[in-house]
Amino acid sequence: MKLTQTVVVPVASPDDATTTAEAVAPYLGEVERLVFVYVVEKAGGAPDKASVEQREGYADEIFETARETIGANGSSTEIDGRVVYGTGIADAVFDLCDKIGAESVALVPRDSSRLLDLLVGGRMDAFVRDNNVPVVVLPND
Amino acid sequence: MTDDELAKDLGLLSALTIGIGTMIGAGIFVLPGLAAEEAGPAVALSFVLGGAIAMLTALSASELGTAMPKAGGAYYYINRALGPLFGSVAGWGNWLGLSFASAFYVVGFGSYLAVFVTLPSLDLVVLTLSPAQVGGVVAGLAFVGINYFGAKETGGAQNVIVVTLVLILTLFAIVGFLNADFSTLRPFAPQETGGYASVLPAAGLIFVSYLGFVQITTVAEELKNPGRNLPIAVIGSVGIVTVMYAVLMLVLMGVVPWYEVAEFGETAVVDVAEIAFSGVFGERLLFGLLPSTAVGLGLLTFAGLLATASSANASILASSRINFAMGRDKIVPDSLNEIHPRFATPYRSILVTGVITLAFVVFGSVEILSQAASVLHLIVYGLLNIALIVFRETEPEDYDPDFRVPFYPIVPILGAVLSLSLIYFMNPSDWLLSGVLVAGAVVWYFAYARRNVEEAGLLADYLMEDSDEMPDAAVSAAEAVAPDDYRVMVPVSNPRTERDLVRLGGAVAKARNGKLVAVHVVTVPDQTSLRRASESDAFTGDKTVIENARQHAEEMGVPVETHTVFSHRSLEEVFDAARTYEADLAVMGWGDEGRISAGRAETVIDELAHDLPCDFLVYDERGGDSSRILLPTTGGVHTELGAEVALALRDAVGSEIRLLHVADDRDEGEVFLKDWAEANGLSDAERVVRTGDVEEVIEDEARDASLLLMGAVSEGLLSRLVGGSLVYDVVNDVDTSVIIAEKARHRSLFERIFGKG
Repeated sequence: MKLTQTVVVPVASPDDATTTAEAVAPYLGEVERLVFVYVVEKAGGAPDKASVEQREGYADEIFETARETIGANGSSTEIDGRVVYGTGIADAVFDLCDKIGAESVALVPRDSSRLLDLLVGGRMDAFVRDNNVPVVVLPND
Repeated sequence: MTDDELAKDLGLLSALTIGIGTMIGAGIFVLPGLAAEEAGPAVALSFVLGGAIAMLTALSASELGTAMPKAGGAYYYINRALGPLFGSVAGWGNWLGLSFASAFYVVGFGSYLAVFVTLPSLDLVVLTLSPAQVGGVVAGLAFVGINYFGAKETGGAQNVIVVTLVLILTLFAIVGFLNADFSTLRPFAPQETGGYASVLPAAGLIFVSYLGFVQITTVAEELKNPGRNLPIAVIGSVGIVTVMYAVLMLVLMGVVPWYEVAEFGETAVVDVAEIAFSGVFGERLLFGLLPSTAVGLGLLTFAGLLATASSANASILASSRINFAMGRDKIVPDSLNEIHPRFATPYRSILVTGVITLAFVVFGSVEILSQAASVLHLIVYGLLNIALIVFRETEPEDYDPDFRVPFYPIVPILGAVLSLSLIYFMNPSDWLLSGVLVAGAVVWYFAYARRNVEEAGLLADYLMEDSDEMPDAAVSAAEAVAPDDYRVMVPVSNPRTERDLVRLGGAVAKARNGKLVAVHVVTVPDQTSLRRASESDAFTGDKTVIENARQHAEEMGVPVETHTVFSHRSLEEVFDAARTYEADLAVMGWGDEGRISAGRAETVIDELAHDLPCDFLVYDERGGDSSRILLPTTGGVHTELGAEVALALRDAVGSEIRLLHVADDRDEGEVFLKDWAEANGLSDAERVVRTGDVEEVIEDEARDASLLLMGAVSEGLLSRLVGGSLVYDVVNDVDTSVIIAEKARHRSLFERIFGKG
């Protein structure tokens, strides 16, 4: 099984994009296509917490940061950015994997606390529980 | 499902419940006591009147919402139609109006909380907080927290809340009706409250009950099928709520006389429910399990909590959308709308709104808060109706609403007049507040926003475009408040020519104290969707071209902004971009292989040629510098633009300018050229007058020059040149670089209507 043809990398904020891009950079040569993905979380029938247009603009900012961090260092890896929509972050990411035929998801766990997880929902959990492709957890330093 | 379908997940029920949920909180759960005191049973008429005024605006909001389903709603339409000055008034009015409304709702929430739990009153030395205010502060903090952390609310929850509310109120109406003695409704308009004359002031008092239908438009971008669902939701929610209010008011005052309702105060429905439930069900209900009064009290208190909570929450959320839209138009700093890295919420906007709201809770009373909220919204509603008229009259190209207001223009005119005149029936302190808001917003516009905003608004465009036909005062007013920068757009795509184009554009921008707008037009194969292209471009587009453009402009000390657009057709896209970015002048090169290729559908170009979106300079750079400029003239607006460019180049790089006039008679020619030079600020330029064949003379004179600068000899010349359909001999026969200038022709209103041109 090849894990590294198309890799989907979820990013959540410009800071997260920097951390994640740094963590991904060393493996760039082994990957054919790297797809950064930002999930616009939908409330599923209630108004969202922020305007969709605003979130899409935010996604552009995040992709830009990711691209700058990873650098155009002449590698042949194709780098892409996608905005997806869904009521659950992990589900939306795995849906995208299905759609574009990605072989794996790579992510960097974000600092969190029990309290925050309780308030806004732990996200790592869903990534390792309901995955349809292998999930690579990159070291965060 | 496509991405677009996923992004738009609010159905009709959700949209309706946003409207009903926001509105239902106030009229029935907070105001009945005050309202009964103001007009007696006749206050039901005030609710019908308020609902009718709201309905007029709802019709306008529906048309605008289906035409532009964008975040921001009312503010957005007003800003686009009437420009940033009124945009500031509308934005601030809507934002602060929502803050007052939120404060009013949370104090109402506090009153209902006080029915269930004992709340202390707080003595803060300078002022004392009532238990309801203490509850309001707690609730306010909670709602701000919910929106700050983005705690997950599911669509289901909101629908359940509102449907529950409507059911409880329906049950209450039925029980009340069974228990009512309608003789207590007489006299319908009691003398003590001033008879029917008090209906109007009471309508002003209760108008806060109808704030909320416009909130649906602030989330229009998230609606499924907005063309259908938005009008149904906006108009439907106003209709449903109006009927409920009128019926419930009559029921309340049928169960107990109006003056007792007045004595019950804010939670009058709870007191009336206790009486009605025990009257209908006897002392105990459900087989004697529960005391009837407790059931009535419990149900209505619960409903009161739900209603005020949903109103407050929706208002806080809507105000962050308005902030976002104001930031998008640069009326407030965009940093206000920063997204929280973890919660993905516009946390700063939420916090600022929260602080303002809590301050209002602490310093205001229910009556003050409701009046302030109403008066600010009424200003916004008045402007919204005027905005609709402006959209209809100026008919911008992209204005294509699915829903159209019936009986135009009567409906929006009535809507504007009635909304604004309702302010007259409020307290003088509310007039003062509206005055302070308008003055504050105007000061804000001139002190802060005017420097930043780019869009002048349809009304100002319209007035300035047809300046010959409009009254001078209107035109100069429009010019005085318009954003003041002159915008030079340079489409950059070819790294080879980009530098020269930017320098030329930069020189003109600098001379005009304006701004350079570098637009990177990326041509995309027809089979690739533009959206897909824009998504992947964040990585694969050629950013160096636009970065270089930025650098060149910065080196010249010219302010610059950059944009990237994707298109299947490049020349048309340049025209579109010139319109989008409100360019006054566009600078482009010709002869860039492939970019604007000859043999394109000429019909398209011919059409475009008659309607340039702004002035154009087309630059053919052939290695020459711009140290010696030759400017042939026979007069005309296009050559005047050329003169302006020559002056700008002289300022920027110290060019020598030689004016050339080819005349039949040398003496007459001398006089003409002298006058022309003076009129165009070029009296110190070298003047040459010659006779003979125009093209030969120009060719001959061009030998000593490094740059030939010409005005277009006829309209549409430029586009045909660029399109390669016209061979212009002079241009091919000289060795110098060539710039051709063409002024946009401003078509008059008459021509636009009758399609001449």
